[in-house]
Amino acid sequence: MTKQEFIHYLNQKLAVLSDEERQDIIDEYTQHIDMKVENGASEAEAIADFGDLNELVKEILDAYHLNRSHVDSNFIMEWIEKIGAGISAAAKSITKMKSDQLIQLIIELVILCLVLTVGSLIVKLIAGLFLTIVGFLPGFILSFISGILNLLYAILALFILYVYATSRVKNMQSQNEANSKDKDKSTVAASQSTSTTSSKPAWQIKKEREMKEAEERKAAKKKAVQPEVMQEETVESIAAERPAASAQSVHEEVIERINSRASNPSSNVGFLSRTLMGLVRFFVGLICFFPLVIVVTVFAVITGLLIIWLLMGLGSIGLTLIFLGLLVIFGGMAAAVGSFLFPKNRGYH
Amino acid sequence: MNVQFKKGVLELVVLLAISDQDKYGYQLVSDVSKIIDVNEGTIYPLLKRLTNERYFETYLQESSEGPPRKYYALTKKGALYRDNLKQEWLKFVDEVNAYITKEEKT
Repeated sequence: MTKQEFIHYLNQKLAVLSDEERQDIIDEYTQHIDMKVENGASEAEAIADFGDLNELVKEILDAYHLNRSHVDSNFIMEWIEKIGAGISAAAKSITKMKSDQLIQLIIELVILCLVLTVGSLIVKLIAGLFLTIVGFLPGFILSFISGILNLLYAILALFILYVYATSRVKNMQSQNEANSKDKDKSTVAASQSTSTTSSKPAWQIKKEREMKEAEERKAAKKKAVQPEVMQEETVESIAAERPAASAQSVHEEVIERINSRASNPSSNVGFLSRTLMGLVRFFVGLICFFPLVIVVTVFAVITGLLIIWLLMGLGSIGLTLIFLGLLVIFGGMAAAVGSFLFPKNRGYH
Repeated sequence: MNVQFKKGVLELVVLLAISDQDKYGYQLVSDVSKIIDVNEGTIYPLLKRLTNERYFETYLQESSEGPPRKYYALTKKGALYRDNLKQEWLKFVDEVNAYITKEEKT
């Protein structure tokens, strides 16, 4: 192998690095070969001294904390990366929730889909009435109007689903964190409570409330703790800790707490490695539970077909919503499998 | 020699080899490979990693022959790291040696 071939090889294999980094490391190797040649070796000998070039590339990429599987990348890989980032972000936010909360969320979303499907029937009915009233108009205008109505409803339904899902996920996360924070605070309060007599009952009440909450979660009741209730509880618990504090400062603290939840500590590890880990986790989960996934998919499809058959004449919106519901079930199963496979394994960042 | 031994101690040797003066890549690599018989190609990634971790800093300097050379210099953080690593190594070797002598006696 000549020096040029070697450089070409490195350029190809290290394509994942930035141009600057790649040039930097290639310069080092080129210089090394040049010096060897100056000292009387041939280019081929100098390169042979590097040993197995595959190993060499692996070592170089390891130094950048990169996964080997990434070496043969192309532009398709970039897209997979982007999708993987989305998946891992979603999986991360989902695995932060407790499993019964996850199931609860899935059930809620499915119910919402069904409600929206029924809603589409009503909309169709109203639209039909309206269209009969204005039946004197030419046919193409009528079909245009009904098309617009369908489209509007579809957009509305998607929007509702999206807003609901995101707000619920956030809600559940902050609820979990609030609980753990309150627990921390209560232990502090417990150690301090010997001096102040008034703080102890408040602490007890809080603990009782926490226990009740835990029981509620255990039973996986569908009654979700609404955001207002959650906030009120935080307000109450803070107020209980500091009875003298004015209402406004309590509210400020609540806002602070909520804000602090939003900002999670950013990690130093590169975006790439996290993405790859997410991808790997996702696929490992998928492969390990492939039979399960197939069963779930088949079941979902059969259920879907049954529902479609029952609600014949729903039109495209109904079908889309049912499809979305199935998608949610499938995604939820995948996430549950993932969190089951890697229960606390979020320590890679 | 055992490859794992070499791998483990390579970092320490590289840090020691650069202690007395700044060196450019080839210089450092050939100095290190005089002490440990190791694949020279694998030292460059190590230099890269040590630079990324701020144990080394680099600067370019013109040379009489060929293009400018990239010199590596040990940072304060790197010196601290080197001292820690050295202490760890010495302690480790002492412990292993003590164990070996004890085993031989019995």
